[in-house]
Amino acid sequence: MSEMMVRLKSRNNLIVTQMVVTGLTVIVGMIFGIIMLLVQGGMIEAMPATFYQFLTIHGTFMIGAAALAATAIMWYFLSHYVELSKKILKINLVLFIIAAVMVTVGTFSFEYAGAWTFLYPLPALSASAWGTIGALFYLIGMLVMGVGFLLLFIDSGRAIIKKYGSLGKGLGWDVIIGKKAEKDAPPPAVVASTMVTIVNTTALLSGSTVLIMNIINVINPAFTFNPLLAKNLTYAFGHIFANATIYMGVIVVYELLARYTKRPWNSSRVFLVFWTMSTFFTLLVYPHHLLMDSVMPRWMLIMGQVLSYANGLPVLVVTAYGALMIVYKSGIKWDMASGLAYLSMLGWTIGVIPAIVDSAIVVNHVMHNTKWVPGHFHMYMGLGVIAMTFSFMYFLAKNDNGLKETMVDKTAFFMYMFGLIGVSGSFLTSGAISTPRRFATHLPEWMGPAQFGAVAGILVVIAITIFVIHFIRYISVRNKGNIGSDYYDKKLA
Amino acid sequence: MIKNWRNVVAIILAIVLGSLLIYFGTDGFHAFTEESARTYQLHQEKPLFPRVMLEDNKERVYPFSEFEDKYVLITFFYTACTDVCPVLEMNFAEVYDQIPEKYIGEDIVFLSISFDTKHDKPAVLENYRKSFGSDGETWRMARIPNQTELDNLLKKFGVIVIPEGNGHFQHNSAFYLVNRKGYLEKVMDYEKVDEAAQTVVSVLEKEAGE
Amino acid sequence: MKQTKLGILLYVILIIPPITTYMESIMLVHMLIQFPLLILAGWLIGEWVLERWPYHFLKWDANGIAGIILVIFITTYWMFPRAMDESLTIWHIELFKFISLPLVGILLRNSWRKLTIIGRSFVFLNYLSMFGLMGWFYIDSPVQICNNYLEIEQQMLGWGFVVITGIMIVYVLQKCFISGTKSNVNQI
Repeated sequence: MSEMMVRLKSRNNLIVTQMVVTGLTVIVGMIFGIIMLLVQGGMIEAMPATFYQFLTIHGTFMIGAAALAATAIMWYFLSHYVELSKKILKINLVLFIIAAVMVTVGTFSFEYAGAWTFLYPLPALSASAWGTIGALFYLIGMLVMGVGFLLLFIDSGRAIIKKYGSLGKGLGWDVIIGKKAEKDAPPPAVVASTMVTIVNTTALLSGSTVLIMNIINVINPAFTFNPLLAKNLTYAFGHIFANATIYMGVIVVYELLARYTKRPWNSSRVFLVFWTMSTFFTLLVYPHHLLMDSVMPRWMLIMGQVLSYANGLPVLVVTAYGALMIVYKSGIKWDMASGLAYLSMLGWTIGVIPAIVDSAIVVNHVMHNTKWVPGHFHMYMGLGVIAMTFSFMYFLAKNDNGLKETMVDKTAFFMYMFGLIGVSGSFLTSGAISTPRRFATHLPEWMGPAQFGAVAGILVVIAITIFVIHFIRYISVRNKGNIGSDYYDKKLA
Repeated sequence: MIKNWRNVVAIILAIVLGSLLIYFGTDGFHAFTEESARTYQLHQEKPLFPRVMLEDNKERVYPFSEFEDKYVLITFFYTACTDVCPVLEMNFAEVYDQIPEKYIGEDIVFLSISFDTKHDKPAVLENYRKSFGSDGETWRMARIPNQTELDNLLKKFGVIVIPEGNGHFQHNSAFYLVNRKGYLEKVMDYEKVDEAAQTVVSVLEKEAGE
Repeated sequence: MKQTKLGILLYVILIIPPITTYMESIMLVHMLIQFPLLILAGWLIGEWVLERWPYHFLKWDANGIAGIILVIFITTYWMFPRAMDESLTIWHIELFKFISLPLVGILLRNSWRKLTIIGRSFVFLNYLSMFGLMGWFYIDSPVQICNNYLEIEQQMLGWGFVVITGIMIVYVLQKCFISGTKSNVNQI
């Protein structure tokens, strides 16, 4: 093997490890999700306290896994254009695993159940449901995770600045203002990575501030803070961090379709403008999580509402349109990877609609505490980000050693699609009949959709397990044979 | 890796030293402010109430040992105070009301000590006590005329008083429980009235039980 | 050795009792002027120290990590309200202040240039959020945190931290967005 090949293999090894960790985390997270629906559906019994532990672990694991998978996608494709540090990627993964263990210990051994949003002052005020130690385990675990991701985005920022000059140029601002020709614009993968670097660094900094504040408050409850500011910072972190996963995941759509259709996906000026808009809007829309806080300044809420419409849409439109155009008459061969990539676009597009409905202040007052909201983000995250993740997995498996897909995989694809539509649909239905969210026990008339959701959820878990098995098969084949036929990698060599 | 061993050792050493600094700097992660450190330390040390002469609201002058063999619950205040002290004394009154009558005067005496020696003369104190329903006997208000004695007491009990220069003071507040032998037994949060009352009652009951 | 002389001069000025007392009488000056000046004095003196014992630093702190860890711990300690309070009332804490903070300066001088860009950015961004938190903490605290200072001073200090955080944010933004040429970038 040439030196180049060795380097590629070691890079891919890291990415593969990260994807395996992600896959397993997703499965575990989903199982807890199903258990919760079963409890709400009255099919199994669990103490409410246990339910909230499950809620906490489900939320944390799913967000963590989505972020880990999305960064793997971003890292893999970005490393084709700029020089990233493998050491940092490794450190991030190690810190993530440490954090996952700490969070699990805090939740199950010390009964922390304050949800992944750790909204102040809940970690310290649990009415003795959990003690200081549980809260500290959880909060410090999250902090450790944040450190890993912060390092990763510092590295991507550094690398982009080194190659392109500044983050502004990474977003293609010099092309937008006409200083540079469109053909010299940074590729979509770089634009998306720059955007995510900016918003996630901001998110992680506000997240670490509010985490340390919570830690101080847990250790010494005499130190109290302004809860409204705490809530603002918490959602600035939570919203951006969760939202950014889709902007990282979408890179797989750009790169994969370009390779499959053998047409380049170039950044047009409109594309760049829309990404820049989404950069700013993503930073500013989080107040739509606080529409029910009447003490918030009115202008912030209105900004949250208005920008919510404008936030996802630019990138979504430009990407969906681009995805349609690049495929049009290209004679693309459909397989699992491209199928999942397309499905993710569908999930993203449809998932945005209930979100936009919810971000209208009038509707929000009625809907926000119902299961409508989880309905929206299960579609958006489940059918969007998770589909991107597994699209990437199938892409890697095929690209690296041409592992064949079977009928089982294809069946799993449809199980996954219908399963997740079922899960999100059941949540949306619950929302429509005013079922409150985050309730451990449901009234009999609320139970139907929950039961349906649980069954659909089981379908999804089976599908995802098949996906992950395909991936593990790929690893075992890969370890025996040779690697690497990536078109771009060859060009690089 | 071998050639880096010094660096590894240095890093470990730095972490250990740093953690020790933080650990001892906060009494083992207990006290991040001087106020909490002070309370923590007072509970460890249990200082003796120093010898002082008190002058109370009825112009009686006597040493603190007057209260020997009784528990004394103490606050530090000044009458011109407009923010904390009225709350402090109001809460003090609530604690007073929560103590079973059989103990009052027999086993426990309430004492509010003013640190504004110049201004808070007996007549002023007499007037002030009425607004809080103090009887002037089982709950007395007093000043310590001798400044040196006062400073000594404040220092021993960790009461910090900063004159603002316009007749007002910045100061910290708490309930201080001194036991029958004159040693400081407990320092309690003046904002948690019920908790403080419970603590005092349980101390008294425990003794009665023995 | 010009820097070293300057550093020693600065240090001597800072330990002149009336100046020390004056600086410590105002909370904002104590934390945001006296502390940084002590660190600066250490940094300047570091010129001589690093020249005197270059191999020790090379051997024991080749990548700057050990040094920066100590710096983080010591500065964290001095951000506790209690440490500031006690330096006024307990003489050996005051003594520790005049030793540890210049030490921070010396270590910083050695470590900072050895750290990678990633390491430096990481440390910088962490101080950014830490200072932001301190600002919030001191402004928002419902209780008097330091026994030796008035609440109003505490809030002033908080706003001081907010201003510093603001400056740091502006600095990051201009580093990331404005300094466009590649030669500038390498200096981050």
